[in-house]
Amino acid sequence: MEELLTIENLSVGIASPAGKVQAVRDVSFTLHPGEVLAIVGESGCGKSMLCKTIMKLLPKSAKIEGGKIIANGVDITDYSDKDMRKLRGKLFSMIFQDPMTALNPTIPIGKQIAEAILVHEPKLPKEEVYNRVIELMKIVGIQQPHERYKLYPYNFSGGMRQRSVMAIALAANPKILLADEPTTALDVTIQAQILDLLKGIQTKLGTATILVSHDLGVVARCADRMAIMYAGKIVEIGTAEEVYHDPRHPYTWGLMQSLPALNKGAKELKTIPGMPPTLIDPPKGDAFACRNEYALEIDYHEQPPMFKITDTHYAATWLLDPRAPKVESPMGGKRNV
Amino acid sequence: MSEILLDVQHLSHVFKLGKHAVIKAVDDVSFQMKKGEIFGLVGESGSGKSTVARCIMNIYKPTAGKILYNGIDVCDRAQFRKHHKMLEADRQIIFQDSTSSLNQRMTVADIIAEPMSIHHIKPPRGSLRAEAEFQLSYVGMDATYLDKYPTELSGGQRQRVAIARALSMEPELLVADEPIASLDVSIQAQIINLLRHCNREHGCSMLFIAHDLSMVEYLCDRVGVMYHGKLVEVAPTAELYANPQHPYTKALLSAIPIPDPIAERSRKRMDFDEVTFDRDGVLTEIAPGHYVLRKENAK
Amino acid sequence: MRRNPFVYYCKKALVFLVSVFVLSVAVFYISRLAPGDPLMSYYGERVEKMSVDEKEAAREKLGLNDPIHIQYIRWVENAAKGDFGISFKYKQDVMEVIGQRIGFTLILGGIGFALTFVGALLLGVLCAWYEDKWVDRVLCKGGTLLSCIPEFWLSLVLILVFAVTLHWLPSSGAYDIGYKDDVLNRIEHLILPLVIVVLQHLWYYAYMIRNKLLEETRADYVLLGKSKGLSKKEIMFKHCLRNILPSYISIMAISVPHVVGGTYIVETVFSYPGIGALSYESARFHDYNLLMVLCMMTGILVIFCNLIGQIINEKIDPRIKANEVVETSEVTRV
Repeated sequence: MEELLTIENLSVGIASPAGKVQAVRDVSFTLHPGEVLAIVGESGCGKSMLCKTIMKLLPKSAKIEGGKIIANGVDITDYSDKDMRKLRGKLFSMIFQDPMTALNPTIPIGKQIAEAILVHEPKLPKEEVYNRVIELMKIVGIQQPHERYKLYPYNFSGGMRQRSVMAIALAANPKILLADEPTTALDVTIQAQILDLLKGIQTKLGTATILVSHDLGVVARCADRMAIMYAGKIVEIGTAEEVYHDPRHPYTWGLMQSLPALNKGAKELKTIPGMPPTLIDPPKGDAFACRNEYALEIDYHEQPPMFKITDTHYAATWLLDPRAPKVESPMGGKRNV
Repeated sequence: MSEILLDVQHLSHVFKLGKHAVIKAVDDVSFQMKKGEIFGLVGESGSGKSTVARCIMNIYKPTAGKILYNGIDVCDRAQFRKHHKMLEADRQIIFQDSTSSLNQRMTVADIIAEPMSIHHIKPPRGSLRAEAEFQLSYVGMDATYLDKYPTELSGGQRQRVAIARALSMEPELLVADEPIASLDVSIQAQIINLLRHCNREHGCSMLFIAHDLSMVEYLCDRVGVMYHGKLVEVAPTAELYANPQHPYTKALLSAIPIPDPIAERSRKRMDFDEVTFDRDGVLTEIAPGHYVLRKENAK
Repeated sequence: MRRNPFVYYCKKALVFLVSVFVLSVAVFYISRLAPGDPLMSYYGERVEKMSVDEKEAAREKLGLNDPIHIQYIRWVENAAKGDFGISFKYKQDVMEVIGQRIGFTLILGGIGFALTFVGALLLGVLCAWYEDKWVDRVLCKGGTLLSCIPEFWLSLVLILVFAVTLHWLPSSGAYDIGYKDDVLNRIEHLILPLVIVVLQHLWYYAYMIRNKLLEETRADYVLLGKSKGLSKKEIMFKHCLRNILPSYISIMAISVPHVVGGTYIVETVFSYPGIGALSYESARFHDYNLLMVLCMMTGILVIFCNLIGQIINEKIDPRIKANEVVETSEVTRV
């Protein structure tokens, strides 16, 4: 299978007054055409920064310090802003967490969608642009598109705005859609609708999606594969079934166990003790070691490599080393629900 | 423990927008809370759940209705004035956004001890600082945080400080207005455990407002569902989650994500159409303790 | 929309009229409370030689002996007929005195305002475009420095350099004698005063534009714009600038009197025959009628521009209208 996007050993540093923050550390993964890859992690783990790095939308203070981004077979790591502009929207586009601020408040919705079409096809006749906008609005489930074409973002509810942002992102038929916490700011019922829409778009248009979220529950419905991120690194990656039903990294265990749905009737929710480390001066060994009840001596000295479990399932924990003591997953091994 | 702590009767709150425009943020809401229970209030944003909390805390003055706290009508000026010391000490609130609800220029120790010094309570552990240290350790933070400022703390830690501050008065009623909405999943669990501990070990009653229904299911004894200012369903948690009656409740419950890809992918979701919502109805008891908003004649 | 536009403008007009009335009463009373003798401006030196009776007769003639409120009512009655009285100093109809001079001020202030408006916009955009590059830094530092220099001092320096030393430009007046209708000559006389007027205001507004623009470029929708492939130019001009223009225009509308009326020092230093210098004189010499009209003119300009600024703001920016729409939709729902 041809890879749509390959990230190799990507590292990103952000200059801050307190020192350099290593927001993304040595991240590698691939995205296949037409799949949904969910990236899950706590705030500050670098998942948003990873998306912005792929789109090259980094703030001035951030810099790619190493690694490669290969999109559609081309190494775009050193692309200038001008080169990137041709790819943005066309090859990949992005939707953001807060639909309230992601739209320009003073321009009608229809025009903002039309603009995204015109960027890549400036000579398209007016009627055709209009028809495309209406079509896009229908795809993302905005009813009465003709009437709503001229409305401003403030006329729209949160869910409607997120749909509009999705229409903009889909305007130039991108191959990759990066969704950065697209439902965090929305109500539960709206969240469900938007997630179904994301899944629907992926099936209908074949758009590969990177779905970033902090909530394991949210991504279960959409994700084909998932990656768990902690302290700037991917600690576990695999198909959704593998990660949900047979998680191997202690951090994934911790995340799963803290979900109330898996704690029904329990006296106390399981929690992960302590706090994520600051990434200004990341610890030498495994960044999760000091919160990990299964931590081995080696965790404090050396970072674990990615251990292969199956062809699709990898996890970065020394527990998978053949020399490590056998530890039963607290999730009770393979779960069948 | 079936004594009634809080009795909200036909509470309405109307926000005025300009001369002729009004929003009925809360519309004829009635419910009761027993001593020692955790009552959850869920609904979408703008459904009026926070407004109910603020009316209970005397932050807003209700347009109509009564709120009886231990038999005292807190909305009645004379009664409130007579008991205001007790009311202010016994009821505490925590907000969603601990960044703005904690004074950025006060240290953690000052923040926690402030309610006690306001109420001139003699600190049982000697000094106010010792008291702050004790409360802080209760919420799982050590004394090194006493002299820090809120900006130096993480979101979860700030929320703990807010809880410590509320607990320093040993309240009988704790109103928690979306206390975990802006926190990470693993931190949410820590805060929920802490709240549950307060309730189980200290008998602190709690009004827990949230839109995360799975946490509500775990934490609360009874749940009320609000929609557009109306309370549409109230029931014990297990009963509500197993046997939802109101169409909005059904839609809400079907939207809870299940952390299991196989089950989740095949699950059907229910939609609730705003147009079909019928405001005119009364809460009718359909099973012991299970009330649903219904037209009176409808069976 | 629920709001009736006729009622809306009537309300605004009412606010305007009430403000003008309050202003006229205030100016009328305060000018008469100030110490000094208005007869000085009418009779000049001769006042000192006049007897008490003569003075009394003169006061009677000028209507200065009546109680202030009677005087005010009389003034309003006459003003309603278009008669604003005579200037004590110039012994001419007030409107005539002003008419001779107002053109000069309008030209200086008007051109100065237009240049400031456009210049600030260009400089602001330039600084924002090259944020933190040397262009931006040099402009910002230079601007701060320039705006700290008092304008009368700067005027004198410019006169010294360009008029006295280099003889490139004239130092005073609006035209040379005998060149009244020569446009080039007038432009020559305008250059130095204009430079001062523009320099004094330019930086303040340029800064405002720069900061507003930069704030706007940090907004989320800029990221979305970039992610759909827009260029920096398109984002800056089609989105950010467009969003700040309404507030800029309304602020500039409010500052019309500030810039146009603020030419007083410049007029004095350059002996420019505008109404700035005239108002100073009229206040100093108790030239009540003249002072009254000048104050009313400036005041009306201020109030009028404020109202225009408000209206522009409400009309152009859909975010202000947004509140109303939200209201209506919520209300219909309940």
